[in-house]
Amino acid sequence: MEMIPKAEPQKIPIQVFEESIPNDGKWEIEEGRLLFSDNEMRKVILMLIGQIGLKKLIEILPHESKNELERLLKAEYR
Amino acid sequence: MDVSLKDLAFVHLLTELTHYARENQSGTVLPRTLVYIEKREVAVIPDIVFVKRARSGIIQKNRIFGVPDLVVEIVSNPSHRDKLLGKKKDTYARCEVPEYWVADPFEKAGRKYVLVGGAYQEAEKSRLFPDLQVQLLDS
Repeated sequence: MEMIPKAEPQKIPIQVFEESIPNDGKWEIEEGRLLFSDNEMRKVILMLIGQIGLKKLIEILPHESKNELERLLKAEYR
Repeated sequence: MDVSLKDLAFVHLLTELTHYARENQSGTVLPRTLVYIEKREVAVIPDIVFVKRARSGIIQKNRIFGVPDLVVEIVSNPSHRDKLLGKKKDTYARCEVPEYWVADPFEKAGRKYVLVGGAYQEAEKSRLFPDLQVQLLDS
């Protein structure tokens, strides 16, 4: 079970929370890379974005990142 | 259930190692402490670390700035085991941690690795805690 981020913030179901805690709850880093597996990274990112909602995500992204995101989304749906 | 198994193993190992280190005045055992190894750009939080008495200067403000003499990680679930025996083991070898233990309460086993020529070799006995006998599930 994992979060499906929507425009508005959502509560995190306890099952999602339990399954989304990466790396046994430890935030560790090596040469600038978090020691999370790809699956752990995906789950924790979806949980966090699901919690704040897509509107908030766009709000907090730096302007440059928003432009990049827009470009990527256009390419995705071309 | 899985969490309690890990926690039981953690408390048991921490107690045994701390007691042994105190009895022998060999060094300091610390639980879940941030270890920062600058030259390898690594910041990790092992379940348990041991630092020899002579090197206790690397312990500062509840953090370790340097390479501990022993790192112990405890398996929290079966998928976690692969990480501890793979990526994490490689990381600690690269950081030149002299000893690395993986305690596995699910398999009721513990693996000890000693650094030899830059790579870990599985060992029967620890060099740092040679007389220590730990039964993981006797709690």
